[in-house]
Amino acid sequence: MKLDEQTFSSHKTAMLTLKEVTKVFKNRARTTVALHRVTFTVAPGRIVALVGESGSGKTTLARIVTGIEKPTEGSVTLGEWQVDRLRSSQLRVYRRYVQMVFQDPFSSLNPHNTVLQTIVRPLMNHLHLNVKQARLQALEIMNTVRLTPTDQFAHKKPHQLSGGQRQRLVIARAIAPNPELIVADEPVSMLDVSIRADILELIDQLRKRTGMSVLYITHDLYSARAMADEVVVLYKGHVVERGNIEEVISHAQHPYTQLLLQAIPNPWKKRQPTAHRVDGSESAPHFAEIPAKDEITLYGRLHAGDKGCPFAARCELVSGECLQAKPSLKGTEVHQVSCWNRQV
Amino acid sequence: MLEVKDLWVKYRSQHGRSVSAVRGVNFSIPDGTFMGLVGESGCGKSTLGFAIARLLNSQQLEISGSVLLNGEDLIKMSSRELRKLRWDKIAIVLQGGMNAFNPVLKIKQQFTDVMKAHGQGRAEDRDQRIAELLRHVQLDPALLEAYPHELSGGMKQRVAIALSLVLNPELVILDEPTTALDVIVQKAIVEMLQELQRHMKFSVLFISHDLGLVLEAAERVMVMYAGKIVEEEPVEVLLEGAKHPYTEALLSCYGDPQAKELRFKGIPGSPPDLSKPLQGCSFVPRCSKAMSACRELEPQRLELERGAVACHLYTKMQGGIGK
Ligand SMILES: Nc1ncnc2c1ncn2[C@@H]1O[C@H](COP(=O)(O)OP(=O)(O)OP(=O)(O)O)[C@@H](O)[C@H]1O
Ligand SMILES: Nc1ncnc2c1ncn2[C@@H]1O[C@H](COP(=O)(O)OP(=O)(O)OP(=O)(O)O)[C@@H](O)[C@H]1O
Ligand SMILES: [Mg+2]
Ligand SMILES: [Mg+2]
Repeated sequence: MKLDEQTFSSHKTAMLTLKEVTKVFKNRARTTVALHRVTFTVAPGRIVALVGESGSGKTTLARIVTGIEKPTEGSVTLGEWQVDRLRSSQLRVYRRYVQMVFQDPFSSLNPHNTVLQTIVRPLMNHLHLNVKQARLQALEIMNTVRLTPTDQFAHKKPHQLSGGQRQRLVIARAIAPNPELIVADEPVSMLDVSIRADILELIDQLRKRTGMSVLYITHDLYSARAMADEVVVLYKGHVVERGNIEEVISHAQHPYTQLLLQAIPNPWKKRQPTAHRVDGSESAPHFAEIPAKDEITLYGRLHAGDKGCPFAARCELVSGECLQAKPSLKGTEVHQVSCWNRQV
Repeated sequence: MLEVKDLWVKYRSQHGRSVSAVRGVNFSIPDGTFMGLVGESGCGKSTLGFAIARLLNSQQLEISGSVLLNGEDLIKMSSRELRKLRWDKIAIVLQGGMNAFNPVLKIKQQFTDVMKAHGQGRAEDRDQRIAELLRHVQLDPALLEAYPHELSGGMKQRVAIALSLVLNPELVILDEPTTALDVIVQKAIVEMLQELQRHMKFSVLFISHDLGLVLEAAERVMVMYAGKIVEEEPVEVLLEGAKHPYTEALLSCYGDPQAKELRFKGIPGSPPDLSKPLQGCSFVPRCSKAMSACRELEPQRLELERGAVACHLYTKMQGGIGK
């Protein structure tokens, strides 16, 4: 199937650049630094995985990239667009170039719209096609994401689709306006393993075909490796390690990246009695009196990392300087780590 | 000891097609066993869990077979008898249940409500018990005074687990207890569960669509497909080689993330529509080893040395297809 060249130009040139992006949320109870001086780029046609645990700032970053949220400091550009300074009138136009795919394929679809209506709408709104053109184009896109036979699927509503089919539809809607960048926030974490591979492969094919770039957000390094060219590991809003995905996974340096790797369910790897537990609490052979450090932090009592390394409170390598000052990213072109005790 | 015999659950619908979500399931969970139940979305895992705990609204469904807990049939019990038994003998942590706490009640109140309903008298005893349970799930007892929204997802799930243990049940059913959580919190919760289970010696039915996780968590695994258990085995036996082609396909969706060669596969095709009658083996359209017999005859559960499988590849080996 040939994609309409006019609509899907493969000459995409927009580079996403984040420079020293900081986001602070303040309310009466507390101040949260959701992102701290985050710097990286996503080159056209590349897939960059943004990996980190819950609360590490992934969604906040996605919201900033899509212009929904403004950074407290720092700059975000996509090609010519100065994203952090967009006014709401410009935002509508910008949306054409950056599309989101969310975690929950059900709640992100309008239950009253059919498959065809869901795809036709962005084509009319963003590309200003007339109804007839939009319908033709929509059928084409349905073929691309394999919602086929198209005549059977066109008039179905979301509740009549399986989880995988729903996520295909979300992807179809996202690629419809021919964006430069797709931000996919946990697009497969709610799907069965048996259909995950399929969706990830689809995203990969689409970027090859259309030249769009992808910011793939996940807490799962395994799927990141299956998909991405590069990886950015985020911990409490700080980039702790980044680089070429193969490089980072096979030679992970940061203790947090290593923790993420260990946490991937891997039935073949015999469970060893590890000295420290994944949740960060010291070895707890029996019921630990103390809650996991992770949980204390989430409860807002322990504020390690205000001054020192953000990971110090959970780190087994922690030493004096880790509490005194923040490390910065150092390393080679293909692999950088931010740690006082580890280097590439 | 829990024994499930020829259990069927059919959801009736007002207009026509009803859905057979559990179709003739047989298995048992010996005391103190950590049993996993795995299968794709919609295969009937939650329905099976609900049916065991008798939490299904019987107005809208047909249920047959038996669920024996220490020899007593739950299916035959009155709702009054059931109410006494729930929490006390069988507790269930519902799928997404961590978001089902009453938002205006403090954590402590969520516990005391259950304890009072089951006649656990003195306030001091209760408070002590709750604090102990929170420590068991590695939470600070000070959280007793917190409201649900003040807790992270992982903390809420720990509370839900602690709550299920409040009356020392014999069997705890956990339906997708970690699905919404990130890998690190997920692993911490699974390890905590294993520790609790070893210590307190209850049995567990751990339901998840993630085979990799179930294999890490459980001692024995049941694989469910289209409302039936197609394979059941101790984890170490299954890891040596799956018997049912579906289990094999599921297993091949996983790999070592740090291995040189990354295998990342899915299973082509999709599960059958449970509202339509099925003939033969329900996995046939997606099976790479299907034979003509598979299309005609439904394979029956076949007991093996250390497990069981329902597949004609094995009935054939045992001397002939069918009975
Ligand atoms: N609107 C907001 N107001 C206050 N704090 C916020 C807001 N949005 C996010 N935060 C905080 O910022 C931090 C990062 O949140 P974010 O949602 O970006 O994490 P995440 O990495 O996407 O997590 P998850 O994996 O759970 O989706 C958290 O501590 C969160 O509580
Ligand atoms: N109340 C209901 N009425 C009618 N059909 C139902 C009802 N609840 C579930 N079903 C159907 O029964 C089948 C089994 O559902 P069930 O929720 O048990 O699956 P599951 O294996 O738990 O799936 P998941 O992994 O998505 O939680 C599905 O086809 C579902 O659509
Ligand atoms: Mg998020
Ligand atoms: Mg379920």
